[in-house]
Parts: sequence; structure tokens; C-alpha cells
Amino acid sequence: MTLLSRVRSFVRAIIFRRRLEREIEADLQFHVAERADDLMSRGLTRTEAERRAREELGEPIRWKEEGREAFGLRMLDDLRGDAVYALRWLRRSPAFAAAAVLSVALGVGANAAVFNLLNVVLLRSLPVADPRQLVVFGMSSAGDANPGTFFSYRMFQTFREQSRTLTGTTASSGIRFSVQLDQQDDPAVTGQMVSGNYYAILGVPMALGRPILPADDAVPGSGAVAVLSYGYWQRRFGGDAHAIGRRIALNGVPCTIVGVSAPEFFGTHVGDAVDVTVPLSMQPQVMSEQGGRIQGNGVFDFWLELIGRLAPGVSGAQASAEVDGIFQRSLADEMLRQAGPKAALLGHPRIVLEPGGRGLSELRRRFARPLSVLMGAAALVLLIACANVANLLLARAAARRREIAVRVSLGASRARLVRQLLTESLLLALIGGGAGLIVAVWSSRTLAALLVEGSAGALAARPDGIVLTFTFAVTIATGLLFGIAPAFGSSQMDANAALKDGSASVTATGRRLGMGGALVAAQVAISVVLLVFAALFVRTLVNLRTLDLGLDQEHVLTLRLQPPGSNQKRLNEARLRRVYGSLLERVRAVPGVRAASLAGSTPLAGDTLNPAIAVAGYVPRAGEDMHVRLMQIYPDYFASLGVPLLAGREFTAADDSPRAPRLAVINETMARRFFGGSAAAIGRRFGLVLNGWGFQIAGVARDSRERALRDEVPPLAYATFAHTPTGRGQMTLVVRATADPRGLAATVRQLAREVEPAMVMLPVETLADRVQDATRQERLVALLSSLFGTVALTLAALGLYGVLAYAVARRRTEFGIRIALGETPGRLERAVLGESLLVAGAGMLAGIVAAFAVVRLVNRMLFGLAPLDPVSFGAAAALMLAVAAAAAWLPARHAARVDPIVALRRD
Amino acid sequence: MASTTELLQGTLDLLILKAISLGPLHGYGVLLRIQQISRDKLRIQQGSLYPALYRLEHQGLVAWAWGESENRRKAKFYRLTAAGRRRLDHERAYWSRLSEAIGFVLDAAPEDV
Repeated sequence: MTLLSRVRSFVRAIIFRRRLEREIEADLQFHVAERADDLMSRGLTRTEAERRAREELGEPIRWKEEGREAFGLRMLDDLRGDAVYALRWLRRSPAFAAAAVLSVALGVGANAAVFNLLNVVLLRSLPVADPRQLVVFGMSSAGDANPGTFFSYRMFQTFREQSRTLTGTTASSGIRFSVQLDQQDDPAVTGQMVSGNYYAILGVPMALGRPILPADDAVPGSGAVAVLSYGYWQRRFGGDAHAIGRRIALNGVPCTIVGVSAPEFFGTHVGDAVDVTVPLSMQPQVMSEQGGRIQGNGVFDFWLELIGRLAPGVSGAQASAEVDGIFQRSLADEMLRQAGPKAALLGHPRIVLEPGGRGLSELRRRFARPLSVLMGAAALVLLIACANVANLLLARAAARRREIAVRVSLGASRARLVRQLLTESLLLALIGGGAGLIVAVWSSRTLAALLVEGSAGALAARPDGIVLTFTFAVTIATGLLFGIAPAFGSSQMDANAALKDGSASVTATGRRLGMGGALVAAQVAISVVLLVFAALFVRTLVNLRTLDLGLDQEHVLTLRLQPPGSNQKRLNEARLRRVYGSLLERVRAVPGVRAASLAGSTPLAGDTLNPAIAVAGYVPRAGEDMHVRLMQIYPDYFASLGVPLLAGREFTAADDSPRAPRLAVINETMARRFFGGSAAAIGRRFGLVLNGWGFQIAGVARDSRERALRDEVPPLAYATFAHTPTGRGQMTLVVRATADPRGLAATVRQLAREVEPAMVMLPVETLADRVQDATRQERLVALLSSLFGTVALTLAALGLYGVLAYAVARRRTEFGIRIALGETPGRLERAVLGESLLVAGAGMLAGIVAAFAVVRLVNRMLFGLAPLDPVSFGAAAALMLAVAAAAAWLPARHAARVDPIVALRRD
Repeated sequence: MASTTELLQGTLDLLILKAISLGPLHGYGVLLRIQQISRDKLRIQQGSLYPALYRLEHQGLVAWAWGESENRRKAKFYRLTAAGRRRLDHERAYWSRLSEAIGFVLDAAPEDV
């Protein structure tokens, strides 16, 4: 309680300082006046009485000073004095100040920038009411590393109705909208469909209008309303409040805009900003590929992501247990029954609820590890920067010996000196940290754009309070770290010796580079570690970019098509065929198109069927995984991707008919594994375990990494549209151009719109774009780690140069004597160079050992090279050595050029 | 032997608390009150009263308000807060125990040892 009153009184004293001074003054004046009155009443004259009264009071200055001290103001005054003095001191040595501030700015800037990304992707809570009570639903079988996060509508309804530990369960599903407004078409707007309770349960803040309500979502096929994101409202409507009540067409369905969500709300998927939201009940309308029925009445149609809110006082574990209980009781049996022969694959799924306050995120999974590694690298850069500043301060401390000695002999206490010196360090750190923060803010958008390629504004990347706090804490810690040793060192000096001893002593060679040398060695060591990492990551990126994908990357563009009814392939097969057939016919007629085809999944998207097969004449080993990838394609697919056939032939139009014999093309890996070679595979047969369909192999295509960049090529079979057992009829148009394919993008879209006006399409992408996108995290890591490596190298070089230059200057007398005694300049130069390379060499060795120990951590982030890659280690060491030699060369020259007469006369 | 006693370190605070516990006083009044209740046996350096008052104010033990003295001058009148009254009671108990103990030690007869 008394602490509270002290703080209150201190704060009041600072804020109302002038008033406080006046009040103290009033006390003292009143005292003198009253006392004088008393003395006069005892017979003194007025003048005499006033003089006596003042004398008895004592020194008013002293009482005022002690009064200020009583309120804690003295400390503040001292601090201000220290700061003013420190500022003056920094202004007097601008080169030193600039070097120190720059070091801190680079170190703190790197940390703030990476931490900002880390915060955005990994740490930040959704801007909704009480995010800590939110839970995300997951479903995992034993041995599953990543739980699935998609659920069927049935499951959602069951959980929503039966759970008592959750105050509500919400569902959402992503969708692409083609938005039409004023005759203008926005082709691929990110949207979502949400349950009616989504806004209420999450507590999403609104900027304008109303959210989607349970009433909107009550009847399937009704509730044609939409909520816009703040960003989309700004971009598309210029922030016009009259947007509320207007009608826009979403995938051809007219909807009324009812509200705009608050600017800070980007949806529940971090990194995937949602621009338009409609009720789930609109799904049959806006997802025309579903053929006009609400999807997911079966337990196996997983398409919804679920977020719940814990009831008050319920723990996540309790809710998890309850919801899993509901699942096991009401749904598990049905799932197993429906799965039929696939049931064994399911294992025993369980429902788990994870903390959901930070939302769902694909980004988090992809970037958690890279960002942690980069955060570590940034911390190392900061350490190097600290060592640099500590070195500068040590050199300054030596130059300030006299000043400090004078202050000590004038009676400055040791604590007072330490405080003064620490104030100086903290001031340096704060200036540098401020500059670093500017760097971080300025770079935040650029860096965030690397995370979410192409969708600028998909992340709220601006540093928030947490980042500011972090940066401030790092800055203060930095100031203390580099300031504390020099401060205590200086304060311990022997004033007598320092004052007497006018210049550096002639024989001050005991520890040649001393503490500074140790710091430089540490800097070199850390730099080597960072350089090794940078080399590994850059080489990984190069390996990925120069990887032969087995595809024609330069000339292919892709367009994902979702025509109405395409999610029920069997029901709509005839119509889908008409649409696809006439589209291909038109696209092939466009000048500049070399070949065109359709495929069940987009190259490098990675999603294909994964059936188990049996192969005639092949006996599997015990426990052998007999799953292969299976994809439906149209004729001309291989020509359209630029993949050569090694044996046999491609599909023709005649093969793609239910009445034609079932044929397959397989890839090289599959041919090698089951048939011992490409030529041998032709004419052989395999069957799908699930439905017993048999396929005869008509051709073998060369391996290509069309599924995923990093993974080994899996065994892959292709079948015709007619013969692939899947209900999904969405296809990706693949067009190979004779020149740059980008020029064809608009034409191809236009043609797709012509053959099916209600066609839902994703944006046109070139294969090169997709490769670029697949190397997103590698590029971020390579870019930042090279940047950090360069900064580290520069700082270490500056540190080495500074320490050497200072040591040479200090030893001028010694060098003068040595030259006077007959040492040749060349030998002297070599000696100095040798000393510094010894320090650098020691640091380098330590760095290489340290790098050996830690590269294991990034094993999984590398591609095409081992963690102990000799090229990377060699390159890092060579670069470091070259830079160290360059940094040492100049001071060594200076040492050799010392004029003995000048050097000796100086004393 | 002098007729006045130098003040023990830290006892000034206690005296101030005691003086204003009898009613609000201005600074000079505190001085007079202390001299009166100590029957002029304690000598206080007059100005040191004020830093002591401010320390007590800082700790929340005393508070003040503007008022007018008998000589019609505007002055700050100090009074005890609730926390100050608790502190005074506490200190009083401590002092009486201490002086009792010291008195007992000093008065001990040779046969008690």
C-alpha cells in the first residue's frame, strides 16, 4: 500500500513538478514569516526578527533539495543530467556514435523484422472477442502426425447440437468467388461460407452494417446476403457506406451486401484473407459444381473447418473428451460402415480440440520452422553487433581514462560512475533500437509479401504492441549486454595511476589484443556459423530452382475449372464432356497454342487419388505399400506438359469412352518398380483393389515432378476421364504455348466463359509461377540468411579493423623502437598481420565446430545437399578468411609505416 | 550536562506523526507543538522538519490542505492519514517496548546479573 502511494506521489511529482516546487517554497516562506512574527512579539525589530528566523531555518536550498529527494525527483534529475552529458559525449565523437548506432540498428532491426513475421504467423491472436476460449477441431488416427481439420456437415450438426462444454460450434469453408458488379468481373475473390452463428460465437467486430445471422443460414438455398472485408470494401467500393444494401453477383448468384467487418479482421485463416462471406445455406447456389444440392450429408464429405468456443469454466481437455465421446457414440460406427473396404485405412479416428485463439493456418505449418531458424540467426546477428559496440566502448574507455580518473578524484562514487556509463550505453542502444524499429516497420510489408506471395494485404503485417515491447526489451538488454563490462571495468580503475601515467606505457604488450581480441574472435565464430547457414540455404534454393522437373516450365499455363455439377461427375458426365470437349477444341485453335489438355489436378498442387493396386505377375513383399497415385487426364496431356513418352503411346480420343477397354499410362518409377523397366511394362496389367477395375498399360511416361517439388517421384498411373473411379469432375486446363504463355491467359479465360457462362475458375497460373510459389519458404530463408550473413561479415570485419587499428595506435611507441632497432617494415607488417589472423583463425575454427553442431537442426529444410556440405563450409571459411585478411591489412600497413622519430618524440 | 538532547536518527518522523495526531497543523505549528510536548527538551534543526514532512507525504502517512493561520496567512495544514495513524500506533508500541527494555538493562542491579 505504501508502495502504491509512493508510486502515485512520484508520478504526481513528475507531472506537477512546478506546482510541487511552489508548495515547498510556500512552506518555507510561511515558516519564516510566522517565526519572525513570534520573534517580534518577543521584542525584536522586524529586520532583526526576519534575519534570525532565516538563520534558524538553515539553508533553504538544502531543504528544497532534500524535499525533492523525498519525492524521488533527485534520481530523475540525475538521470536527466546523465542523459544530457551522454548526448554531448556522443555528439563530440560522431564517428564512434555512428558506428555504434549502426551496429545496434542492424542487430535490433533484424530481430524486430523477424519477430514481427513470427508474431504475425505464429503468435498473434485473432482480433475477436476472448480468443483464448476458442478451440479448433481436429481428427486424428493413431500415428497421424497432422490431424485432419475438415469435417462433414453431419458431424458439424451433431457436435453443434450435442456439445454442452462448448457454448457454440461454428463451421466455415473456403470458396473462390467470381464477383460481378457494375458489369465488371473480379475473377477469383477469396471467399468463405459460414454457419449462421459464426459472427456471434467468434465475436467478430463489424465496421458497418450487420453480420451474417443464424436466420440467414436457416434454410438451404436461402439467405442471399454477403459480408465484405474492410479491405475489399475499400478497394471495390472506395469505402462508400452506400455499399450496404447493394446487390452483387457471386458466381452468378445475386446477393445483398449487409455488412462490412472491421479492418483488423482478416478471417480465421492466417495468411488467407477472406474478402466475401456468405451463409453456408448458400452453398448449393454459389458452388454450382455441386449440382444444386447441399453437400456433405454423408459422414465422409469433409469440407468444413470447425471452431468452437469453450463454455465458461470448461477446460480444453474436458471439451475435447466430451466431443470425442459424442463422435464415438453417434458417428464412428456409421463412418466405418460407409467406408466399407476402406475402413481399415481409417484406423480409429479421434476428435481432438486444439487451442484456436490464433486461428487456422497453412502458413503456420509451412513457416514455423523456417521462422524459428531465422529468429535464431537474427539473435546471432545481434550478438555480433553487441560485441562490436562493446569493443568500441572498450576502446573509448581507454581514451577516457583521464576524464574518468578526474571524476573519481573529484569524489564521484563508483555506483555513480557505473550509472553514468550505463546511461551512455542505454542511450546508444535506444537510438540504435529506434533506427532498427524503423527498419523493421519499413521492411514488414515486403517480408510479409514473401510469406503470402501475390496476395498483398492478406496479412496484417504492421508491427503491433507485442513487437514494440519485444523490440524495446531487446534494445534495453542489448544496451546492458554491451555496456555492463566496460562500465564496471572503467569504474574500477586506479585514478592515481591513470592521472600520473600520461600515455600508454611503452611496454604495454602483455595481452596484445586483450579483451577486444576475444570479442573479435567470438564475432568471427558467429559470423562463420551464419555464413555456413546462408550458404546451405542459398544452395538449397539453387538446387530447387535448377531442378529438372521433367516438365516444360517455361511455356505452360494452367487454369483450374469448376463447371456447374462437376462435383458429381457420374451424374453430369455427358454435360461435362461437352463443356470440356468444346473448350479444348477452341483453345487448340488459338494461334500460339502448341498443345492443350485437361488433368484431374493442377501440376505441383499435390492432390491425387491414392488407391491400392494389385499387379498381375508381381508378388508384393510382406508389408509392401501397394498404393500408387492415380490421375484422370485427357488425350494430349503429355505433349501439353512437355513430358516425353519412353514407351508405348498416349491416350487417344477413342480410348476415352466407357465402352473402350480400360487403358493406363504409368510413369517410369512405377514401371521400374513393378515391371522391371519401361518397355517391359507395355501390355501388362494392374487392378484397383477397391472396385476390382483392371487396366492394361498402354504407355510409359518419363518421370516428372508434377506432384510436388521436393518429394521423390511416386509411382503414378494416368487413366482417362471415362475410366477413373472418382466423383470429382473438376479439371485443370493445361496449355502449352509456342512462346511466353502469359499472353494467352485472357483468351483462355474468355473461351472458358464462352463454353460455360457459369464456369467457376481459379486464376490463370503459369507453371513457372507455381514453381516460384512452391519455393516460397526457401526463398525467404535464403534471402534473410544471406542478408544476415552479410551483415555479420561486415560487422565482424569492422570489429576486427577497429580492434587492430586501436592496438596499432596504442603500440606506436613499441613499433617505433622496433624499427629503430632494425626491424624491417615488411617483417613488422607480417607480424601484425599474423597476430590478427591468429585471432580470426581461432574464431573461425570455433565457428566451424559450432556450425557442425547446429546444422543438424536445419536438415529438413535443405534440398539436394547434406547438412555437412563441404562446399558450404569451405565457401564460408574462405570468405571469412579473405575478409579478415582485408580488414587486418590496413592497420598492419600503418604499423609498418610508423616513423620511429615521431613515435618516440611524442612521449 | 546539556539541557536539550540531540534527536535520534529517525525519531523526527515519529514526533511529527505524534504532533499532528492531535489535530491538523501547519509546518511551523508542528515545530511549536513538538517543542511544547517535549517541554523544550529536544532540539530540532528547524528546516529539517520539511524534508521529513515530505517523506511522510510521499509514503502516504500524512496529507495536507490549504488553510489560514491565526495571523491570516495562507499555509499548508498537515494531518494524519489512516495509514499514518496505524504507523503511529505501531511505532508507539515499538518505542515503549524498546525504552522499557533499555531502561531495564540500565537499571539492572549487580545482583541481577
